[in-house]
Amino acid sequence: MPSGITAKNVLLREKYQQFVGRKMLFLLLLVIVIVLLAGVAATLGSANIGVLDVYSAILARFFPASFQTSWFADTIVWGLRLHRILLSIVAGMGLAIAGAVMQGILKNPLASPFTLGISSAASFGAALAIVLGAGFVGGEWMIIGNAFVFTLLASMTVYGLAKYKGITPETMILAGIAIMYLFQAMTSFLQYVGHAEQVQEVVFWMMGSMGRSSWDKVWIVTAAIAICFPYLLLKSWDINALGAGDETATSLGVNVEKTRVICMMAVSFITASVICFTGTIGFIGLVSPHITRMVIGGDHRFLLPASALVGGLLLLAADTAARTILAPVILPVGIMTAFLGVPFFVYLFMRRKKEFW
Amino acid sequence: MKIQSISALLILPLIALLLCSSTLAAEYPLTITDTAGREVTFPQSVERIIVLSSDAAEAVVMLGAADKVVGVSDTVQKKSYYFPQLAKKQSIGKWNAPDYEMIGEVAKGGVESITPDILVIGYSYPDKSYGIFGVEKGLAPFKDIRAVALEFTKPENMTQEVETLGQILGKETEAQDYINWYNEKRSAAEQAVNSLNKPKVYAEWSSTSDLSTLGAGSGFDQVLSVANGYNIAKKLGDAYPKVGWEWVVTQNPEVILKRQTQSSDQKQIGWAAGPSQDTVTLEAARNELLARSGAKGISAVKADRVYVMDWDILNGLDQVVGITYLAKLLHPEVDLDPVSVHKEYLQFLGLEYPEERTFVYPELASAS
Repeated sequence: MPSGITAKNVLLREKYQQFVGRKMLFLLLLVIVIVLLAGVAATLGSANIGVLDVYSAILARFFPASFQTSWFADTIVWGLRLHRILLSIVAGMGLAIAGAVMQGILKNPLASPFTLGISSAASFGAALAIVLGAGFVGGEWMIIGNAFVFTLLASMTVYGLAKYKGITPETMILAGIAIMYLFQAMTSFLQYVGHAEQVQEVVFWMMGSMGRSSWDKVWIVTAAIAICFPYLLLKSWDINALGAGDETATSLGVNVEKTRVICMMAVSFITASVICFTGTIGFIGLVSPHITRMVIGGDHRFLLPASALVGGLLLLAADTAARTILAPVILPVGIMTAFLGVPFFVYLFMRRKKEFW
Repeated sequence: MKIQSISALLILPLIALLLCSSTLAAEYPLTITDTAGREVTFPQSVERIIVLSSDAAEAVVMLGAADKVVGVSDTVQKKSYYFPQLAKKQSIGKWNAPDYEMIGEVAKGGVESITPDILVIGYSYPDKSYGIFGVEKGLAPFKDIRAVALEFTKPENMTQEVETLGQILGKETEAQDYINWYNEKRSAAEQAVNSLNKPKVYAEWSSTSDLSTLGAGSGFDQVLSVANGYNIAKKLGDAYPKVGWEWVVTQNPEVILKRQTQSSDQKQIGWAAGPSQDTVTLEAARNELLARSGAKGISAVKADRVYVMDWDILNGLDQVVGITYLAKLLHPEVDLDPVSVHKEYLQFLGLEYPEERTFVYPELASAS
């Protein structure tokens, strides 16, 4: 008998190793696909530059000695295309990480970065700047500053409300719903008193767009993710434990409340720094973790980085399509994410064999 | 001594003549101030133009520079019946989200560098992403594309903006012709009506969900006061205040004007004169207003002075046409002929006045 158990153990271990191998392969594959897609996206656009010109423009900045480029190709590629591509990738990563963590700590498949009223709070901040011209900072940073501050304000309020009743998924979601309706009502009020053109701009902001990207925004979003992601990855075992139930997690030595609060704050910070630049891009944060889970399962140590890559890939694909389909008319990316993501999602959903929720 | 002073006398007028001729042919670099208060300097004459708004397109065409246009926004393309010369120009995307890459491609025009003879004309809107500062930022990677804000929407800036555009395009004479005509037509309308009684006017901007009118701060309020009418919404500070029907009934206006938007597949200015499909629509819009409860008690309804208006002639460079229409509509006894003013305006654009079209419903009785 003991030898039988050992044999079974060895078999299990082998199977587990195989599964880990599959996960690593998936991660590697995603990185390759993103790099390839970014390479394709850099060649697409209204300006008539050849594929070779694009790549020599990119490489000329790194190896000025061996690559020649024209001034125009350099301007288009470095001044207009690359920062937009990179912002799409990092913004998609940020939203997907936030979604995966939210679904983990709330143990709810419908959770997304926007569950806690974050998107409606950000929209309200933006609408406040657009309609009333009121904000924490002036000038071109007013909409960005407002959206950022109100996002953090919303999650603080959710935290404060939930704290009274104990930080459980139910209290957080209910408090989030309350906050969401409150900010939605306030945004509607601003839209009601605003002029037609202001209302149009608020709606445009809420659809999300990569049109406002620039290099400094890429660095800011990257920095926000770089600060929070290692911590979340460190906590991924705890999030796994939460999935087994609060009691089980507590008995495993996880400080359930503290984990939930800190993860929520980190997620809010990432989401705020993304959507204040791009507007509320829905769908990515909700669906990237699901897509990933269907392929590599629910272990957050792999789920978090893989979701991030799926999110970056989805948003980059969506923005590239939004830029090129009706060119020179540029569609808001928020519309394209769902158009591209839903068919893929439905395909995986119909094919999946295992239940992860 | 004497010879010297004589030669000096001869030379002075010569110098003066030289100076005159050199100021006539614009000197470069040329610096202008646009409607957003920005100073823009042109190192050489502007030979290529990209217009982001239909009002700016109208101004460029009016000054006879349509051949210099190399790129247009979607709003200009939608009005191609108005600018047949611009129908085939390269699209650069939506007016409020232009494709800057496309602008760069157009500006480059086949050669490897951008010649600084290209200009983008947009709206002012200082705090909006599609305002001039947003456009400036979008164009920043291309060093030599200049952008100016010229709107042609508010009467207070109209002549100044036309003058500035004339300077930029080297069309000072054409600009001055238009300004003279504008001032003449405007003061003709003003003088005809300024000693008459001011009727109380309610203008309905929109009635889709709530009623909204045009308050102080709207361009219409300025136009209405030129035509010697009293805006019942003048005390409501906002440009487009929302009002209740009960408030309108209480104010008891003597004239009611209702804005009717054009259908999206429009092929010509105005509406087909009645009886036509257009007038059926206009009649329905007018009847909806007349059927509102309490409408029968309003002076305007009793006197049958409820009109549906084409708002296009109240905005933009043809605003003086709208002013004349309003003056005639509010004071039927004056001797003004809006149709002839409209014909004269369309000549600036090189367009024929379309027969069998109307801009007010029911149509005004011709000059008595």
